Amino acid sequence: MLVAVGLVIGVILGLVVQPTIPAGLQPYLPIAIVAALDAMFGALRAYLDEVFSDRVFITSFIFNVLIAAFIVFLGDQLGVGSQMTTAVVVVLGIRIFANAAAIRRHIFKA
Amino acid sequence: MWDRVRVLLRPRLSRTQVVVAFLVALVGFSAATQIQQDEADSLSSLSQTELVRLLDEIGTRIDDLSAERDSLRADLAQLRNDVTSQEAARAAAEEQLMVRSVQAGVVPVHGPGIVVTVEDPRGAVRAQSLVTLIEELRNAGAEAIQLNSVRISTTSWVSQTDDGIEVDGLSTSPPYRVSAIGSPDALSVALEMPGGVLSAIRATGATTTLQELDDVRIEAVRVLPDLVHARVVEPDEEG
Repeated sequence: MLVAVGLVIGVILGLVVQPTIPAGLQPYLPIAIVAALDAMFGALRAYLDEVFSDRVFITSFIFNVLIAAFIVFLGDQLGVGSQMTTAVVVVLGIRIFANAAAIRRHIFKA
Repeated sequence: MWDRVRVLLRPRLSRTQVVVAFLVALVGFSAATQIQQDEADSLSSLSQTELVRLLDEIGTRIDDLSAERDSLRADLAQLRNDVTSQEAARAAAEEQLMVRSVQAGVVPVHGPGIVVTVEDPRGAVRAQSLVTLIEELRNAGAEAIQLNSVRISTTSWVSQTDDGIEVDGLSTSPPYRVSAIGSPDALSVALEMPGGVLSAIRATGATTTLQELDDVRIEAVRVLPDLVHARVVEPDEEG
């Protein structure tokens, strides 16, 4: 419950405050968001699988975000930034779909 | 299963719950910000490589459009040039048409010139004298000549018949009135010179009067004859 409230508050804050993203952070924020989404779907699936752990969620969330951003940063340094972004998004997207499928099976039994 | 979902939605307050809520709020915040950013400025989210590629594409497009503009300008200049030369050609053709019409005697003309009247009650003036008169006028630069009611042109002829004088097939009788357009001074000098055509005509007993006028009207016109024999040589026939 508190999680849903947090999500709503975050979105509203973002819409109201409309902060400017620092230029240095701009290429990494979208990737960080996708990584965070992945972590959230993973957490929901783990919860429904009854193996959810707060510790695992918090660490995986932070690590996923940082590693995704770091990979893209590395790609930028190597001159393959856009390809690396695509690669990360593809991998995370596959994971999100897999998690979503697991969640769907839990909820609809199908 | 639905029990667990219900449990999930039940409000609880623990440290981890707060931390998770904070993280999720952070995600929502970032996502909202990012979406706004994308809407505000799509270029700033592009990477350096993409920007360079975009710049290249725009540069190529500019080059293409510049080339197209240059070629269109060249076309326009070409067309304008064509129009100008066509207008020049038409003006020259109209000028030519006017000159030839005057020379062929198919249009009425007026201008400075002289009028010579030859009074010849006894019929002593011969056709040869009139031919000489016309030739002298032509020599002096007359641009149009009329003898009584006949316009004199390149093909005009004067002949002596038993009944008198014929000009271009029309019988003519005295007094002979010759109008000519040209420089009045030159024309009168040519006719009046000692031993010239007018003194020869006067020698036969006729009287002549010569008027220099600022505006002589020559109203008589000729009908162009149909060409029966002559054909224009086409340029490719010449070689």
